[in-house]
Amino acid sequence: MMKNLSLTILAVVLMVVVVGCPRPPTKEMAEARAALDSAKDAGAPTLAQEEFRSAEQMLAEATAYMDEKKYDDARNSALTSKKLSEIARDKALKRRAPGKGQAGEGVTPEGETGAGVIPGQAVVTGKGSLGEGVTIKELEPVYFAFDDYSISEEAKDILKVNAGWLEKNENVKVQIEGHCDERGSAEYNIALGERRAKSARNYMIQLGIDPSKLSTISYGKERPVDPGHNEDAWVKNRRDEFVVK
Amino acid sequence: MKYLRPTIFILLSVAMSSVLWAKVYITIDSPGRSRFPIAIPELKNTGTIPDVRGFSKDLLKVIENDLDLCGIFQIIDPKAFLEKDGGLSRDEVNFQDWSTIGAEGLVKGGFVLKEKEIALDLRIFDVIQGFQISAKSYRGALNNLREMGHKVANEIVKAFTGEKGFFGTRLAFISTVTGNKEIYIMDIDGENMRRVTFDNSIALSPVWSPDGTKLLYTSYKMKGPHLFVHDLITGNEKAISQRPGLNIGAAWSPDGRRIACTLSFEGSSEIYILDESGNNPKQLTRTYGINVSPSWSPDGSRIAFVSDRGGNPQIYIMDANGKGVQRVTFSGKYNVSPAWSPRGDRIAYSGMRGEYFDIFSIAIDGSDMIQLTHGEGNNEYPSWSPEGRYIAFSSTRDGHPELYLMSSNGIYVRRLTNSHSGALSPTWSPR
Repeated sequence: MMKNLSLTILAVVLMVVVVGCPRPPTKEMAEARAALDSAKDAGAPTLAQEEFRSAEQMLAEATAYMDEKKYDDARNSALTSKKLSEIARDKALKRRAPGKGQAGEGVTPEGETGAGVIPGQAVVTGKGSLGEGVTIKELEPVYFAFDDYSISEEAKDILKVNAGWLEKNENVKVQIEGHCDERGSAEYNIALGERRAKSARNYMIQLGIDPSKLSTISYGKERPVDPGHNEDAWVKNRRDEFVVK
Repeated sequence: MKYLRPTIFILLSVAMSSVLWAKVYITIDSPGRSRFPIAIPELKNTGTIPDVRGFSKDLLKVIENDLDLCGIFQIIDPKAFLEKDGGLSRDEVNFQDWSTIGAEGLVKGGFVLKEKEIALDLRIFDVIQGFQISAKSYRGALNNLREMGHKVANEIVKAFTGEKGFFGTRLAFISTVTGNKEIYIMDIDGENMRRVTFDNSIALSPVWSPDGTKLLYTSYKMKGPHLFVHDLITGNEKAISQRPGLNIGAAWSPDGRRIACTLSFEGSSEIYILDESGNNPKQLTRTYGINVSPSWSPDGSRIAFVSDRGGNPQIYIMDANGKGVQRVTFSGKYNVSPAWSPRGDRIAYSGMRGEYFDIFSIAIDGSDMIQLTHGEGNNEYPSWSPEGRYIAFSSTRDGHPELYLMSSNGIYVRRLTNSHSGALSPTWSPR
């Protein structure tokens, strides 16, 4: 009887551990730390200052999320930090040893950075003619749940396509606009919209897109695509849009 | 003095709790709600220049409009008045004539016209006890009768409630009448509406400087959301913070020397304090999440704000150095827009309940939550009157958003604007 009971408790505890709580991303954290160290060794703090600082910041964020047991957020930040460190390291190395086929601005670093990117379906013809503030048909928006900024599986698929397009159109920079539905305060929604834009940006960095090609802005709930006051409208308004800058 | 005390006590209670008004006085237009019946006879010309242009009537109109707006008084129709040839002094008032028609308060005034000004001798009486509560003299320019009228009305409210009214104060708010969100200001009685910003962009979150001469607000006019200060006297405008990322939702400290706001130039959106020119940012929160909408305690020692650190937006308070964080709201999954009351004891905020947002108020220790609006459209952006007895807010109860005011217990509500397009996010000026 006693044994049965403890077995049941053990089973329940195991279930909770396995199913209920996301596992802490210790491996991703360690890799992010290692990547940052190797960027530092390569001289990134001075040679690729901006990227290195972003990587540092992102790792601090990941560490804070670990403390708060927000493991999904921690994993995302760790993965982004690792990628930023790799970019910073590559840039630093290139700048240390110039002459080796002068890399142009905006070229994504070599290595495994392109892994996981599904090529975009279409390359825009005459990419030089892209004006500022243009929404490109191939760059589809991604959508979010209410009061949420996490990237869904569907959103990931769209972001992979968008990343593929950006790799093909390497001179194009985009601004990711975060938007929200009309519910809640203007200020909270501006902050939420920024998180949404940064979520997409971080994921695209993880996919290997050069961070300098991706800026963000939040319009909160101020620029709805659908002015309606119902769930139909709200679903469409909780989005990131990609606009050529 | 013997008689004074209990009366003042009763009248104070009238001010504090509208439940008591209902118990004692005449019921008027809205069922279940009663006001203090007051008589205000025509102001008496005690001078030599006749009031052919009707200045005294204009002045009285401002006073009566104010007294009606605050919801405390029922102004008795002059047609019911019985007293004839009554004078200004206590001995010349026939209290019987006033109590017979139901008046419990009586306001009398004698005026003298001069070339460019008017002098007023004001007397306020308690009809039931038959004594004079207050006597004051006023002097005002004929081309600025409204200012004088607001002062008189404030004195009348003080005589019957122990504290001055909010008359003569203003609201800053957002209007969408042009198609863009722009900042406007107007007097609390709806007069003197004026457009402040011409950004043709998105202007948000206006707040007053403690001296009432400037507005601090958020605008997208230079692309990102940045903070600007607009001087209402000179019309000059300057950027206070244009750091990368968010620069939003600012609030002046009560002494006007610090600005609390949300910035995200270091990554996540956190609360910072800037000096008055927008420099020397000091980070107060550090959650790598969302922290917005700071509101100072009246003594400047603490700040209420919104954070999603617990999984969804809730109201928190902290010391002005970022330490001693406490969560205030636990009920509901979406509580935002905190406004610390001028009396310091409560925080008003808007919270989502089911489909809609309603205004609530809660003690700063998280106890005694009161729901002030009840599911009539979305009710948002509460802002306290300077003396803390009223709350301005915006509501969609009549279709599109308009501005309203209510007593701080939510019982008395009054619509302030008729924009036909949208007026929202009011903030009440200092006195």
